[in-house]
Amino acid sequence: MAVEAEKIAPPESARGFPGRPRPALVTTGLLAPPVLWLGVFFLVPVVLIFLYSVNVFAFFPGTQGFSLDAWRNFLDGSPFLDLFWKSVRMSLIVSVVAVVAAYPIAYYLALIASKRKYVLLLLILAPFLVSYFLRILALKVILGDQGVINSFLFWTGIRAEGDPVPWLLYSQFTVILTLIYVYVPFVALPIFVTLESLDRRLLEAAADLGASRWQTFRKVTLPLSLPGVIAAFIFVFIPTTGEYFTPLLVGGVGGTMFGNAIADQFGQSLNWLNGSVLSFFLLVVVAVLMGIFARYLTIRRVATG
Amino acid sequence: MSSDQTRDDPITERRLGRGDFLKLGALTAGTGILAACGADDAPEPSGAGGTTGAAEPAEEHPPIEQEQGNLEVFEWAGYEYPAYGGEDGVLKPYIDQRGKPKFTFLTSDDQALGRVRAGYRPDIVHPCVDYTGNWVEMGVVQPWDTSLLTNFADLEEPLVTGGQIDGQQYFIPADWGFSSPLYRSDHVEPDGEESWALFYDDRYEGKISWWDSPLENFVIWGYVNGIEDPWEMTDEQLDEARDFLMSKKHLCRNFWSSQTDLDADIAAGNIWIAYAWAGSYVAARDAGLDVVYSEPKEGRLGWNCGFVLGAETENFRHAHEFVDIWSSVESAEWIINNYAYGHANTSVDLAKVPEDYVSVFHLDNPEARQEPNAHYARPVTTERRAAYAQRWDEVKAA
Amino acid sequence: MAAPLMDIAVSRNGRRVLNVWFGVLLVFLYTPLALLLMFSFNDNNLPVFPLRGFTTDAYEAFAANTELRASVVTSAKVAAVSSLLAVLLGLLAAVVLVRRRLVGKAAAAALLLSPLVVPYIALAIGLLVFFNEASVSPGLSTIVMGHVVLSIPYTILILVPRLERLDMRIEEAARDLGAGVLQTFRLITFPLILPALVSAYLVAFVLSFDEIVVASFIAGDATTFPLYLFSQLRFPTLLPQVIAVACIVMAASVLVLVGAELARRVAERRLLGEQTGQPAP
Repeated sequence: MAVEAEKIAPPESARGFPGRPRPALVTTGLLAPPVLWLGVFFLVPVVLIFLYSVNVFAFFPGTQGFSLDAWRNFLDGSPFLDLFWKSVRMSLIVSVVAVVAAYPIAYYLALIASKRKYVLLLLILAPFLVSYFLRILALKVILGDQGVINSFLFWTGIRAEGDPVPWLLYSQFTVILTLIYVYVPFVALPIFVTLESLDRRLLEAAADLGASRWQTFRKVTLPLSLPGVIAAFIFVFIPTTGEYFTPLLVGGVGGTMFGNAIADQFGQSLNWLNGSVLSFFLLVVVAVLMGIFARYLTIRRVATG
Repeated sequence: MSSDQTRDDPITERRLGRGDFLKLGALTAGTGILAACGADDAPEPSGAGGTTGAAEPAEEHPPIEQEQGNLEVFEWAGYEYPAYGGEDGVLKPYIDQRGKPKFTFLTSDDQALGRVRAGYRPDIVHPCVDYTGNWVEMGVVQPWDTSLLTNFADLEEPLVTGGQIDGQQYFIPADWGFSSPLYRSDHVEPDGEESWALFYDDRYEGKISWWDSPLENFVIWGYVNGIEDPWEMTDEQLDEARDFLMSKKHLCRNFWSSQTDLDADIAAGNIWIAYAWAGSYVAARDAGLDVVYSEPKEGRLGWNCGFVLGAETENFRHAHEFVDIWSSVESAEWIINNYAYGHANTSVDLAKVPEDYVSVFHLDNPEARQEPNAHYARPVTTERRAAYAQRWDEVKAA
Repeated sequence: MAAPLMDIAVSRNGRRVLNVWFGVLLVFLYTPLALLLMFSFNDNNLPVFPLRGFTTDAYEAFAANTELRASVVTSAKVAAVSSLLAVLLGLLAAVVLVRRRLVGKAAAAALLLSPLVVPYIALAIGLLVFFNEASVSPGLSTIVMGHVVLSIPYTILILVPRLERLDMRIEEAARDLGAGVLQTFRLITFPLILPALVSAYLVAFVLSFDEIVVASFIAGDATTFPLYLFSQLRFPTLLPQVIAVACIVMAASVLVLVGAELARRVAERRLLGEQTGQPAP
């Protein structure tokens, strides 16, 4: 049913429609539930963590009293600070590789396998229902000294029997590999969503104007899918900086990350004071990084827009 | 595409400017002030940190029929129904009479402390004896009334005494065992006598696994270096230990925290030398490996776990009945046969137990478990524990 | 009729490469699962090679293990409810963020996305202490509350790009033709964003089902599947059963997938039938 030209209203959502409540109220009403939920179940706990970090609250009652000592000790060149930068480095590697690996998957799903895309999407998400622990357990079997890969190397003679490749398992490499393995399907999702809603006519227009497929991709598809790519990067970079279970299970001695230090402080060491300092520091740094990243993205969009 | 210029930029394009962060910060700070005002009302754990009041005499507790009956036990996995209290299990008499207790699982002593500190209040907890002091310090446990425990007299004396604080029986011992180096005799040959120093042997780089625990790794270093009481080392000694451990850390493949993972690693050939409990010895043997459960010249370490009673429990008598069943001979036999752990009950007929368990784990020789042959974990003050833990964290972060 | 999309989006060689890449991903994803399947029938507590012998003991034991089954059901319940809430709240937020004017919108956005930024363990401790101070006893509902917090950023991050690309003129056309706000949403917007909503729900569900850190602190006396599994790591005796559960979950997912594909084919055939005026084959 064709829409008559005169009836297309200027796209201004603040225009008053008859019988519609004032826009500002609607906005507040819509935004209130999620914001309130997070205010209560997130902000308050975060504030509590901060208060623990300055010892206003303490694990063993009777030892509290405001103090910045823990912060000073941490920022003053403690080994935990080095561990933090190591974690950030590992996260960056994981994130970049995961996004690069996931993009073709999302592209394939959205633009090529159009008919089967949801089934295929389910296919790559289904493994997540299998417990994470068990998948890692299986990965360990593959990567171990007598595991699938090493056995294959022995069998083909690439490595001598009894001389396995030791860094496949329980190393930084293992952590990075495992995190990529876990995150790629997850990361494909936001990219997929963006690509899937791409207006096909734009691609056709580009082709009509004489662009090659590669040019179309570079100048049309890629920039338009950028919000999804950014979202994907955030999906993986930020959680992995604070990652804890993967390094615990497969990191061995060299693959520990910042999250392990935090978990230990809250767990084994019963050092909630220091744990809160580390947690709050992580929070602040990542928030700043996210802010910078969003700002950088704005400039880019303006430049290419 | 719509080109609405008056529409705000989507979030991914909008800069998160300084002004907005400041506003968010103000909001947070405001909440913080409100929360801090409420800090005075923060619930103190009952019993106000460390009081050791006398247990109410049994007569002052209502008879068992009047209790709630919904016993909640904070337990290690493996000790619960159905594995342990299954159809023909040891807990069956209790279950028939009083109903099935509710089990929640703890993964470590520290995690258990953390959860209870933050408000979880089970009726019974199953920690290890060296933490008893911390539990009492937190004020969340009360002493047991041993007159209600029929099997109490059968329990091994040193273990029972170990569970007393200020003369009050806060801890009923249950299971015990050793911790010792476990190594594969087909790949590993100790340099001279059996010793904990095997953990620092350069020949086996990448094949060693220490237990991920703040205390024991320093204690081991202490015994290897002839320190008088490694459980009470000074800060200087701890610093020296930490530096040494950092230097030897590269010999380890990993620090294990889950016995299942350790067993899998040993069976898969990833680890040849490890700090281990009896269960790992049994598992390695079952996997067909040649292993030795070492008798280091410095002496093995030991552990003993048991039960503490919640201070606010409404199931006082139920709890005692539960623990009583746990302390029985039948229970002891089950534990020994299934987990190769020892049990505090001394009336067990060892003829019913596999022979090599008895010999390897010295089930028939109480002296093997005492100083100087073995070094049981003992209560460590929070302050000292924190000193060890801090340095262990530094070793791990290095 | 426009040229088929495939010609524009990719060349024949490109298509082959992408096919292979997708196949590689599937192999990576499913090899460990295939291994688990093997181990679930293996007569050994530990999942290691060499294989010992075929046995269905693990599955039988799982069938008898009420606690394990209950934990799986608990996880499913928590995931279903928390995901629904997360998608609803995320949708509300996404609508505002994309379409409405608001002073301090970036601040609201920062707040809504900030759970991504906090390590789960710190949040878990904070939540536990919070519930304690508020005298809310930890249990299923507290886990749900916590999981909603964790999932909202993900649902927003999925819904926002989709809403951005939504051509509002379609909606406004509907409004011009007299449809009410809710009607427009129901008949126009909702079907258009449905795929994104489903994606968001799936992501939130998967996140919640497998989540352990927060759950381990605020579950109180409830046991979710990951919690049960983690607690069993102390003794490998029950490990085979847990692997058996995982395999059953896998099998169920495969069934769902096959069902979905079949349904799609049937729907397609029917559509084809309508278009050509022939009865559906």
